[in-house]
Amino acid sequence: MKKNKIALITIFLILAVSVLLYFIPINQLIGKLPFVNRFYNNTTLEISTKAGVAKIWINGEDYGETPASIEDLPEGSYLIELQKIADEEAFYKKHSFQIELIRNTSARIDLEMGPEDLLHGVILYYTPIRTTSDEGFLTVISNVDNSRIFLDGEFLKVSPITNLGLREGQYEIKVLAPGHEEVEVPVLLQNNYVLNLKTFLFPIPVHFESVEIKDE
Amino acid sequence: MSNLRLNKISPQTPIAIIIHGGNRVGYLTAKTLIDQGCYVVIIDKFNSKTRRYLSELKKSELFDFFDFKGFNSLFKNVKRFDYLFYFLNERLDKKEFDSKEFLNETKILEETLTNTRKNNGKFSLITSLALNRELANRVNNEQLSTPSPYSAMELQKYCETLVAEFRDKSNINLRIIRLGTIIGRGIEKVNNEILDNLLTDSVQRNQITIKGEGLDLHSLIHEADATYGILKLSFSDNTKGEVISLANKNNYTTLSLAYKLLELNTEAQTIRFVENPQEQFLIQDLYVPAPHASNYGWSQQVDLEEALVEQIQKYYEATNKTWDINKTPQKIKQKKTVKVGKTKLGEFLFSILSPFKKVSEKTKEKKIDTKKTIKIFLTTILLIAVTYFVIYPIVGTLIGLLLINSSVKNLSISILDIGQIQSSQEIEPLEKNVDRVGRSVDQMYWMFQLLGKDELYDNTTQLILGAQYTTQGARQLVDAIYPLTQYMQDFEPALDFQTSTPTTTREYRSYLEEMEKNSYKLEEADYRISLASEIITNLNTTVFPKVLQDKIVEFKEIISQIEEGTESFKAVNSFLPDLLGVDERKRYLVLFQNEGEIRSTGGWLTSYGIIGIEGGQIRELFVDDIYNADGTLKVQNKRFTPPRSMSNALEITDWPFSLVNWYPDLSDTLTEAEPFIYELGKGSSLEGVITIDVSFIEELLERWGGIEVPGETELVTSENLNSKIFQMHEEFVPGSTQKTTFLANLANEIVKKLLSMDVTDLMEIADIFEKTLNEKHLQATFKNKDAYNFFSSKDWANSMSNKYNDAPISIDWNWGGNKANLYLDKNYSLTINIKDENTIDYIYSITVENSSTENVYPQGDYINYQRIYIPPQAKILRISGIEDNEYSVYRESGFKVIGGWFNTPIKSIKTLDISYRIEREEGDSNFPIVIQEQNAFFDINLFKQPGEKKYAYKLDITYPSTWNLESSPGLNSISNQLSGRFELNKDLEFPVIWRIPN
Repeated sequence: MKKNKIALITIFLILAVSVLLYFIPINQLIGKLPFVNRFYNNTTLEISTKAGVAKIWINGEDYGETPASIEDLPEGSYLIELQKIADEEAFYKKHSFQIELIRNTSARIDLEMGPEDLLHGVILYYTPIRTTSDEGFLTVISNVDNSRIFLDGEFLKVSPITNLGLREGQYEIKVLAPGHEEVEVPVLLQNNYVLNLKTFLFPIPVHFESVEIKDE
Repeated sequence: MSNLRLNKISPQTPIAIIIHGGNRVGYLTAKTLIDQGCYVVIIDKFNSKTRRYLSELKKSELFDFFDFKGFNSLFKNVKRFDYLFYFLNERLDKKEFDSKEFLNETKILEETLTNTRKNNGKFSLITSLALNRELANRVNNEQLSTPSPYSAMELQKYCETLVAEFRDKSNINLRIIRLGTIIGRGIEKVNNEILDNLLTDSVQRNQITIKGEGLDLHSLIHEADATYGILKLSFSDNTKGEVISLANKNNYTTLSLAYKLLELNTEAQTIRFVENPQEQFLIQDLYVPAPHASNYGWSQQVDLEEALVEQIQKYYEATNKTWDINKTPQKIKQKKTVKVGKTKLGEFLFSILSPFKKVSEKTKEKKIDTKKTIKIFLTTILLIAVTYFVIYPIVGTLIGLLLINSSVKNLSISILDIGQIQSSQEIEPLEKNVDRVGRSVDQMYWMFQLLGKDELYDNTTQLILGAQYTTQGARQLVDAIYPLTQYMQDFEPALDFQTSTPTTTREYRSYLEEMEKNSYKLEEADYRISLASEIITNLNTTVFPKVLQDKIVEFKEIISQIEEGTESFKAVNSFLPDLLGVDERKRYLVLFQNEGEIRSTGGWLTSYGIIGIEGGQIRELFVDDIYNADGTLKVQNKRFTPPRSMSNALEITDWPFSLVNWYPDLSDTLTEAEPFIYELGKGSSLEGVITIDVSFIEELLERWGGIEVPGETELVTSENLNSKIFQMHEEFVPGSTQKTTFLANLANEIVKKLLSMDVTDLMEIADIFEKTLNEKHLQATFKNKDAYNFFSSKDWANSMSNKYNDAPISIDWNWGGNKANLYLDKNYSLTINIKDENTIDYIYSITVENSSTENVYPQGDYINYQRIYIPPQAKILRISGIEDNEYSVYRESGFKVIGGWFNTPIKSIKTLDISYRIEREEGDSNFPIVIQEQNAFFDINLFKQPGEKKYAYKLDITYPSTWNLESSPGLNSISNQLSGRFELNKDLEFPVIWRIPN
């Protein structure tokens, strides 16, 4: 009888602890521990804007101007806002991006900000992935539908590419779309991480020519 | 007292002498011995106390009694005896003796020992364990006074010492048995003042009084256990020369005994602590008792509760009260209300020392068992490991799946529902649960590996990743579209087509501004959901257990719906605030077309309308017959010059508003219509144009089963709509309002019905909008760049963009004044011959059959001005089929245009053939074949003229045999040829990719 009681209590305790573990955000708690949190808050975010300087806000907080390298941000999702500094600010739209920062990884925003909402460049960040294979994964999207994506000069497919498994290493990604400037970026794939690459392509300016209507 | 009986005992009968045996234990011992066939002699005083025991024993022939007065003569007359029990403890019932009593007792003991040695008997000295404890505590505690020389303690000490010395000198078989306080049914008064008071209080008073803290210890033993113990220890040879404690193994404090008494439903209900003026300041009981009797084979038979019950019963009998022991269990529960009090000093000491005492007691009670500790430690570690690596992942996954399953069912519906708050509440826990399931599954990795289920693990993690992306995206989507859904929920039009007086002044500008701000959330939502869709779509469903397969397929459908919805929301959100006049009023031209008489943008313009929107509210609404507009302009002498191509083709010099859709690109119509609208006084500029044709209205009426229109005697349905329109056209005279009134009323009822529908109802007819937009029965184009791009990318804007850089575009213009298009059948054929990466030949033919049987409205000859748009750099190789072979070729809208009459009389078939070549020129960025790296990309885009029915189209492509085909969706491939047969019901695209060898 006593043994049954102990067995029942043990089973109940195990189930209770299991349910508790399910609901407790263990990683978040560990990330708040002193000393240990250094290993959780070691992300790096690099922001640069070609042909101009932009103001940076991260989650609404002013982080200065581009170029900037922001380190030791805690793991999590961030709202990055960029506003090009120009005489005619209304000419350039404020851009907002949501990116994930994962511990032990770096993220990069490398953009050229054009008039209105035009952008050219890349946003790059890593997210972890669980898999049995020792591979890195590549995800590429483009702001232009059906952009053509090339990997080390080889055509892969039209965008988007999602979780394409590749060996760990460095690759050259090129994104092309008719009527748009190309984007070329070297990337480093790490095992058990997805490299998320968001690409933005400037449209190629159109040259108008006047043609007289005439019968041939 | 017969000496004779003693001496007549047979030598086989053992003889036992019990000194001070006239008491309960002596009686029980004697009785037991007699029952075993032993001859027993008790030596004691004969008085009222001893008489009842002795009287009982005298009934046996094996019993004899001697008074101490005859003590000396006894041993002289006794020839032998085997056992001698000296119950000194019974002699110690009073605390102090006089010297005579003391010496007399010691003398008897000495005499007894001497005779025992002579008779070679076994001797047992029974002393008091309680006295020995008291003596030890006095010795160990300097603060306590030493006992008086003739005290009971000193007497016991002396007697025990005497016995020990005797044993040392004579090697006599003796032992000292220190007996605990006897309780039991035969004990009328417990030989312990404290316990006696407890018992007396318990049966006579309503509270038990404890002097001091009640922490003093008592060693108790039931009378039967005592009897059995004394005999067992005396008979055993291994007890020779030993000092043994005979009592229950556990000691009991006064307090614990008092509680026990309360539990046993005695008279007393509470415990009262009182100051003890004789407090002995005993901080800790340091008494170390002699080896316990259990070490010599004795074991306790009667538990404390049983013994106390007997004792209480005895006390009750003494007071002539009854005691119902059967009520005890119920009483125990009631005893929870017992109030315990303490003296101030007691409270203070107890609060300070109780933790230490507990630890000390536990340490004393429990010996550390190393093996058990290690076992417990290892078991605990094992349980923790099993919990973390096995139970938690399984339990967590199951809990998560259950929680997810319960909330995911309505996800797709609720996300697209206007009840956004509910959706957000559902998504947030769902997102957390998906993350938690991810963690749980992570912990199960080793299980999958152990079972060789790598593929299942990979697919499971992908499924979870997809679910994570979905929930994250869905949450952002819901946040982002909140203002839109609120707008749709709250919107009430201020005007309708029939009244010009606003019914409300409410605007929705704040919703629109919020929509603009949320665009990045939609971008992110779209990104995540598209990733999720891609991941989920690529899952291998077959690796999952069968019970989950249906769920995963269901999930695939849900994510597909969400993706579709998100893309639309994202696009719409980017331009809707502007279109709805967030900053300023926006005006839109609505053109009603009749595709029975085809024109460039879909059909003959029958009516037009103007809608002005500002701050999300309708501020202008107007509809009129197109000929009334022409008439108004004519009266006002407002004239417009037609485009050169139009005047050449139709031989007109004035350009009426009813022919404003000459250009096939709807954006051109928007631009050209603006001056007309301005001159009509309906606004200085237009932000967009929307076209609706009869087929679109038919589709809606078909779904709704008809609609009631004011002024119509019957329900307007898809079946009678055309006949009503024909009838009005036949009867129309400029200036009449019959047609306008009908169309305005019809449009009003349709718009009213659309606006009164909630999102769910609208979603149900979304397929009609999608179908009619795709088939160009409903079209829209806007000046807003995002809106234009969205509609253009969907092929809903009839935009002739630069993607039409290869295949020809055929545009008809029915100039016969009839509805012959309703009686036509057509076949298109396009053969593309790719000579190399720089040269392409096209052969295009159109065959038209007019099945009209007579030249009576709406039937008749198909008088058609045909335009074929080809790339501007194309070289025309051949044209045939144009009336009288008279055609013109000119450049317009970035194309080369071949124009001429291509008529088809009733009951006849006509064919038009055109062939042309495109060659890559230096710096040509719009050549159809794009070479990138080692690949050639060739997108064939086929344009469908709005208003055209579904006609057969045949496409054949021949390419260099050295090229390796990589993909050609929608086309069949044989050798170096591709072909496709289909109906051109909408714009179509065929992307082809080859790999070109070096």
